[in-house]
Amino acid sequence: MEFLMLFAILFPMAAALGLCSRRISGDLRLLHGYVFGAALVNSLALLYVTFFARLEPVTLLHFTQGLDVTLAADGLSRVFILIIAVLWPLTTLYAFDYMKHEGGEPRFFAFFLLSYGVCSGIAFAGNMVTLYMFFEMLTLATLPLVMHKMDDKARFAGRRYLLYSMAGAALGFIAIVFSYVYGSGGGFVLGGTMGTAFDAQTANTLRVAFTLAFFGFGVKAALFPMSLWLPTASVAPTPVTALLHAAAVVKAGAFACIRLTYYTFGVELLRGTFAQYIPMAAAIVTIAGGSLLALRQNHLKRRLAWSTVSNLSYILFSVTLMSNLALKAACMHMLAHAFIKITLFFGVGCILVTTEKEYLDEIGGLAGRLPVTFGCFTIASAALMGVPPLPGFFSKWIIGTAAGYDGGWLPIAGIAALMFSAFLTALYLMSILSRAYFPANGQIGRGERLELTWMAPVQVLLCVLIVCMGIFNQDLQSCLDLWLF
Amino acid sequence: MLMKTEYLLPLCVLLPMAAAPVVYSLRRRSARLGDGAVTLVCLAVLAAALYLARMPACRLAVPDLFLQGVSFASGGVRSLFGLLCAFMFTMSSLADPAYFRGEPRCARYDAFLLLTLGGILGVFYAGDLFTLYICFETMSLASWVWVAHNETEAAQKAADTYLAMAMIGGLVMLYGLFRLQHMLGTLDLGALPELAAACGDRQGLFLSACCLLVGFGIKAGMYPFHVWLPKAHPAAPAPSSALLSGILTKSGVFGILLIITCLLWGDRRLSMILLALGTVTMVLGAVLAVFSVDLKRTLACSSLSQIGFILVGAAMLTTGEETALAAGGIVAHALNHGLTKLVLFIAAGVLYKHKHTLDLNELQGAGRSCLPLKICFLLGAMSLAGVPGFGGYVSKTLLHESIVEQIHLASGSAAGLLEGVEWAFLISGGLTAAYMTKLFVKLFVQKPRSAGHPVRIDKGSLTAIAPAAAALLLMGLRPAQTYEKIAAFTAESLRSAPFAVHYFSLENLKGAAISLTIGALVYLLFVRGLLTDHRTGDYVRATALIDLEDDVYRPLLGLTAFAGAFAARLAYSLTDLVVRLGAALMNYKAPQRVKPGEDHHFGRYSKEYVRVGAISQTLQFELMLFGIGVVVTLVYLMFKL
Repeated sequence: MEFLMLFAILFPMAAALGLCSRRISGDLRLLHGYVFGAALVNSLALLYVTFFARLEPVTLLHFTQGLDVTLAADGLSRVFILIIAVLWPLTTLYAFDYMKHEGGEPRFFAFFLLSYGVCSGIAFAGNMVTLYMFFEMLTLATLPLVMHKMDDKARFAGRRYLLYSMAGAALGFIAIVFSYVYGSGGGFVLGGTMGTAFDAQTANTLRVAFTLAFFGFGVKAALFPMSLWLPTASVAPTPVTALLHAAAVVKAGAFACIRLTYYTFGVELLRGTFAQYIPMAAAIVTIAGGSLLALRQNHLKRRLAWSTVSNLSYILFSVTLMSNLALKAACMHMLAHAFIKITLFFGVGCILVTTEKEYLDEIGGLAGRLPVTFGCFTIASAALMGVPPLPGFFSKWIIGTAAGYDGGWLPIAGIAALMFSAFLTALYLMSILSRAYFPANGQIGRGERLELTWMAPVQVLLCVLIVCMGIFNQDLQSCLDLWLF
Repeated sequence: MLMKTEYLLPLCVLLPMAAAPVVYSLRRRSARLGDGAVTLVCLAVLAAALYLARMPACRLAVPDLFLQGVSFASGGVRSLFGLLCAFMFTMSSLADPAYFRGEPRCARYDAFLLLTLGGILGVFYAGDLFTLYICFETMSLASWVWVAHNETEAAQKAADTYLAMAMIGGLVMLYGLFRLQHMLGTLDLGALPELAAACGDRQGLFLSACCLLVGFGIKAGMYPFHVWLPKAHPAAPAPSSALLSGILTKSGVFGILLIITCLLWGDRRLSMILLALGTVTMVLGAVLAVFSVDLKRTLACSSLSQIGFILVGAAMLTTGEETALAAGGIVAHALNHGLTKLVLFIAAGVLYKHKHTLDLNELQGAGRSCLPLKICFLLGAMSLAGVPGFGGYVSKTLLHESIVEQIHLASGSAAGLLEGVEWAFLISGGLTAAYMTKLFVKLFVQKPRSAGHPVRIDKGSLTAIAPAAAALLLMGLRPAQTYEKIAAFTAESLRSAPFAVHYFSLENLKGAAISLTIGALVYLLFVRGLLTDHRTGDYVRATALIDLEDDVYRPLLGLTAFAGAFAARLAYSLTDLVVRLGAALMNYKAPQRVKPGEDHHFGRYSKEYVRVGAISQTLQFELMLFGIGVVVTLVYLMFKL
């Protein structure tokens, strides 16, 4: 069944090419059916191949000795695939309604499918070279989505996105070089491919390389000091902001950081050195800073974008704790945050597309006209704030526990930042809800319901998933234990 | 013997409490059945109390109940007060059917009557201060229902005051108990005297005892905690007024006796406090009673005054020297006062039931035609006034003698002070005679204004008051066989010895003569002269110069609440200020509207060459710079190897 991995990567790309046909792209209903069908087929293939088949690594290409393109699936791949395979078709449905508002659907959906294939590639990447290749492709495939409107603002955002991403990838490239020179250069293994038999100077050089690469891959996860592209990119259409900039692309960044730390360099080499503490400090700064800046934003999408910045660093903070529990915690928060944040963005997008309102001070009383949207928004907010028994609580709990086990002063500072950020999270989300439910003039907006065909059911479905993720958290955790270790 | 005597102790407490709900449902079904049940329970308790008083002192401890464990004890002054209590409740319950005929909510009254009975017996029979506290609070809360029972506006206000005072007293007392438990390690009344005597921290012990004194003083009606009493007693139904005045105040007195005997035996400071407050209470109550034109209010103020007499006796007892007369006087006066108030209040209830007013001027001559009532009232009044041959004379003589004795013991300014107290004592006695004369003449001698239905006393009420009235006279005639026996019975529990006094000696009769002369003068000159409107014959309604509750306590409470709220608001607004400051800093120049950056050139296809300002603006330039950086880093790393 190994060919299915290749299928999951190439099929969406081929389907994207199909959209060049006028026959398909000319008819909106046909277009919708085609895109959703392709996404659904790919998701089913992905889920089947990762959860029901035993896969051996497949090498597709040999460049030179030891430098090859390999596909493989392990536990961490499953976590990432779970995110993209569930969210992609749902976002497609949401985008049907939303993109009527934006226009340019054939182009949008073509790149949307293309990105799906690339993301699958990232999930299945079996070594650093393959990961790097798909990582670069992801930047290029999503650039047209960010710049979809093609006005000057979109151009600005696109340029910034491109610059940051390429710079990050260049830093990431350093890690490939060193891992191939000093490591076995083989596929990813939990514990690293580098070994530990280095003299002190080499080990330090490797740590410097790791730190640079961590920041390089961390760019996609909006790690301080390279977070600015993410809020800027919120000029993109909401499905892009929601899926790519809250779930897929940014999670790919975190995913790459995990691959780099746990599966390439290995925690043995890094733990207790500057290579652990410098990224950790950056993550802590991002956690606090992101939340603080989120509270400053009056613009709803930017508020959520900064919130994403902060939450991604929860994952990166957990990654830098460098223990098995921390790895599980990182995966847990990756899952939880993906589902929660996409629901929040969908809510904001729904407000934007139905009422043209994008600022906090404009949404007073809107809950009356968008009851389902705000209902889902409320549940997702509670989940992100960490109200038990919703998943945000459990993921933060495990992160905190992992940090507590570490016991150093920096992890403890991280816990403090986590608390502080949780407090701010409550503030910046509750202020949205309080405006919507309790407007200044005391009047909940009455009038016709504004919800659209596909948006409301998608939001409700996501909420159900979030709640399930919270209630069956114990099972989810044992699954993660099973997959990862 | 099937049952040990000590099991009767918790039975006395629990039986009325357990019977309360049963009586409630019975009384709702049938008035006769309910009233019968109440009397039956009271009689059972009376029988038990009598048996307990006849048997030697005993105690019972239940260690594991209510965390601390509860315990009960009998003997001495406990048994006497328990007996008095059971007797008064029984008698009062006999007067209930007539008084409550046709009134609503009687079932509630009966149920809470029994609850209070259980509570108050628990106070008297408590073996440790913890048990006492529980029962004391039960009693306070249950009797609150009596005060509020009539549900009139005055009753509501009186009940509010009563509850507030009871709560404050209870909490202060609890604090004192915590301190005692901490200092002495036990609250067992049997062990306390030795431990307290051996306690090194006299100041701490004194403060704890003062906390208890506040709690008990409120219940006893001691100045300045008396404010609830003249309002609450008249507001309650007459049978319960008799109990509130006659026995509930005694629970406070009992508590104060415990403080004296168990905690601060021979403490001069406590003695001075009790002497000062007792004297003020004694004089103040009497003066208020002289001015009052409300029947039950007069009686309530009289209660205040009599409690003052007892407190002065308690002050004499506290000195710890030559205490026999003081101890006997306290016990005798408590007994007399209970019986007297039973008679007077129930008589007042009979009058109220017929005339539906308590105003003396409107009640003029109301009881004139009812001879049994007249006789009973006269007996009670004469006893209270301290006429020789009545119980009141005996107890007042004992108290007076104890003061005289202390004067002999004291020297210098202390003796002068005590002589002042002695005069206050005699004058208060005179005032007692004056206001009782005033009441009796107004109600039973003067002719009624208008002919109405003549007042008749029902059998129940007569049965309730006649024995008490007769007892006051009979016991007063043979004090050596009655009061001295009772005093001897309680002497040991009050740490004093039996005694014998010539009650009808010239010396003692002189005190009574002075008092009665003062009384006659006050009545003739002041009451008949100044307080009577000579055209109508009405008593003039005097307005109080100052009401301690309305002019001091309530404003003080309001001020405290205001100050507390003000401080709290200030404190919270400080937090708010910090939050606002933080928010202001946070949102300093926050963009209300986002102006996203714009780029006109990136990713644009154009037919002609577009000149892009400086080279530094191009993407290529930025990428090149970054590329150089990466190359330098790589070279450096390679070089380092």
